Parts: sequence; structure tokens; C-alpha cells
Amino acid sequence: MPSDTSGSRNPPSAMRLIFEYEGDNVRLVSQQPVNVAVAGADPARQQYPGYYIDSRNAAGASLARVRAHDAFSGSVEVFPEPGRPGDTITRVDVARPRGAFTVIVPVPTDADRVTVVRVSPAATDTITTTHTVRSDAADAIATDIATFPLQINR
Amino acid sequence: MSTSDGAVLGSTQIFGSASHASAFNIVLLAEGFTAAQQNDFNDACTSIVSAFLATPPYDGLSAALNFFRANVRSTDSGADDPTATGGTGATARTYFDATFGSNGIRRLLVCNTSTALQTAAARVPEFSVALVVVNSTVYGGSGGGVATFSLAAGATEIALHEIGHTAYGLADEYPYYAGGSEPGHDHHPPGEPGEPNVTINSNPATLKWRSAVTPATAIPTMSNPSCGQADNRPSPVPSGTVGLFEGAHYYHCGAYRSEFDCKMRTIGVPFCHVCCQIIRHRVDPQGMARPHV
Repeated sequence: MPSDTSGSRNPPSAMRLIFEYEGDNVRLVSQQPVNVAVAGADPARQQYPGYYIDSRNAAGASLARVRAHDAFSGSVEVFPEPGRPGDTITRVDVARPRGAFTVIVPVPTDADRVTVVRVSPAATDTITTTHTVRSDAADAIATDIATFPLQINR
Repeated sequence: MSTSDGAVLGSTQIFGSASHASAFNIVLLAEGFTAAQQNDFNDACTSIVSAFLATPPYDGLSAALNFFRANVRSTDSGADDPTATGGTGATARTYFDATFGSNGIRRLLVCNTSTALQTAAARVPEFSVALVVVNSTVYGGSGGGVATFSLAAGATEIALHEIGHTAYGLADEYPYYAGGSEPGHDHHPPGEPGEPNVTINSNPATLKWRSAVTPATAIPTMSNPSCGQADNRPSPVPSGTVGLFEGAHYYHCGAYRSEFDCKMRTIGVPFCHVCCQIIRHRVDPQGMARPHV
């Protein structure tokens, strides 16, 4: 596991987390303090379907949320060879999703855990007759997949 | 074949001088390069950096970019290339365990993503994306947690596309899943995609990229008349027109992209205006690298 290379005695502003997954099982294999700014981590603004990582306090309240792009993907992209007109990028399913991903998540002073969260589409998302999307983010279904303690030297 | 088949030799910043805390940091990891082939990797990195910096919008963001190379020695050269998928049958003992032929497709080149991420993090804790450069001239690559690609001509395009997903959260803009007439992909399901470059919303007043659409552009700009297949007609508007083009996010109808073509739809073409904007804001949120207009 990488060690703290920030060279600072101040509490870290963020943590790099590396997860491994296979099927629905997920493991936190590395956590590393990093002093980088993370923008757009407001939990209230992160309700689109997908996978997210929350930093949470001891009471379980979400303090920050970042999206985990490409996590748990059930398919892979296959790219066409150059010089073959008509060939396109395609996707193929994988029998059992397996891989790793990383995120940098803000860690406010009272953060003591991280949670992997799956947000499923809101049941009320519809396309109206004027083709305007009505999406009530509050109705999106968030499910905790796994929670891991943060190891921070404050 | 694993990390016991090699060693990390060191890392070097090869481009950029921005603060690591605020820059967009790209780490290139050597895979399948023996100790004697490290200069080949160094040369490949130089070419890859040049390719990035020649690609809009990265060509205007150099002041916000840092590139690093991590020299990693492998016992053998290249990658596994199984005969079952048309390969040579080579089995190479390499650090990141790269192999062609994943999922039965020779050009699907994958590696141990976890090892790659942990190696990048150990060398450049602030890294933004990690790319695994495989020492083979056989065309191949893949995405996911890291982008993996070979030295074959055009393979860098795979990395440019995959970073679009990994670093910026861009969606695939192609209007099919498996080529264009596959079942189950006629109409996009309800639910607005979270990605900024695709939408199911055709209302010009609330469109995600409405600020980039001129009043003269029709919305939708192009509709698919036959949802049983992807629309293969040419664009009705000049290249670069921002509008609403039906067919995106793996569906023939009911989802839209902002331009007729984009690197998130077709490798080898430029990123569209909307994707360029997203990349600029992620790489250089303060606008330090961009001229003031």
C-alpha cells in the first residue's frame, strides 16, 4: 500500500482510494493522503445513476461524494483497427465484471469512513410529451454497497 | 506472470512544470519492456506526449498538464497473445500481466488494473490518469480504471478516448452497442444520463449544452427515421455544428449527442465542442492555461 508522500504534517484534504471489485464484491486495497483540490463533490449534486464514493462522518452522514467512473462495468469497449472503413467501436459484455478503479475523495475533519454507493435511476424519470426530461433526483435510489474505515493520521 | 516478473525502476517527469496539486497529471507505465528496452519506452513516451499535445483541446492546455513516465522492467518483452484469438501464442512474463485476446477478441488488450493504479499512485500520488503502454506493435487496447494500449499505429487514439471516460466522465456517443442493428437498443430507457455529453432531453430551453447552440440550428438537428437500426446517413449540417443529433449512449433513438461526430463516437476524429469544454474545465478549472478572450 502506498505510504504518505505528501510531506506535510497537516491533515490531508483528500484521500486517494483504490478499489478492486469482482462481481458485486468490492475491496478497498489502498488509501493514501493527497493534497489536491476536489471540485464538485457536493453529495446533493451527485444523484445521477452510477457508482459513487462517499466520505462520511461517524454518524453515517455523507460529507462529500465523488463519482467512480467505469466502476463495476459489465462491458468493455472494442476498438476498430485504423484503416478499416466501416469498422466502429463496439461493446461486448463480460461474464463477470472484474477490475479496479481509483477516486480522490475529500476528507473533511470529521470524516471517518468511506462508502461505495450505487445510485439507481429514479422511478419517476419520464419523457413528457414535449420531450422534456422530468427527473426528480430526490427519488433516485441510493444503495450502500460497502463501507470501509478511513485511516487518517489527524 | 505478475509483479514478480519485473520491477519498478523509477519515474521521471517528462513534460510540464505545473504544481502537482493543481495540474492534470498523466502517468505512463511501461509494460513488457525489458531492462534493455527502457530507451524504447522513453522514446514511445515522447511520441505519446507529442500526440496528446497535438490533439485539441490539449494543444491549448499544455501549461496545466504534467506527464510522467514510470520505467518498469519486465522479464520478457511484449504481452501474451493467445493463438485461440488469432495471436502468435506468445506468453510473456510481464509486470502488469498484459494480454491480448481478452473476451475472445485479439485486439482487446488488458492488464492488471489494480497493479497499474497502485504503481502510479506510489510514484505520483496526485496522478489524474494512468496509461499502460504495452511493448507490442500488434494493435490493441482497452479502457476501465486505466487505459491500456499498444505501440501500434493509431493505438494512442484508444487512450485519448478512454481518458474521456475515466478522467472527465464523458459518455460514449456512438448510437449502438454491438454495431448498429442489435436488438434491445432501439430506444434509450427513461432516465437522464449523468454524463455531460449525452441527453434524452430535446427541449432547447433546458438542453445541457444550450449555450453552445445558435438560434439558427434546428432542434433536433437530426432524427433517426428508423429506430430499429443506427442512423448511418451523413450529417445534414456543416461539421462542427452544435445541435441535437439522435442516436447516442448505445441507443439508436431517444438519446442525443451534441455534434454529428466526436472522438467519443469515433476514434480518429476530433473531440466535439461540448467534450472540449468539459476537458478544459477539468484539466484547467482556473483557466490558467487558456488565453483570456
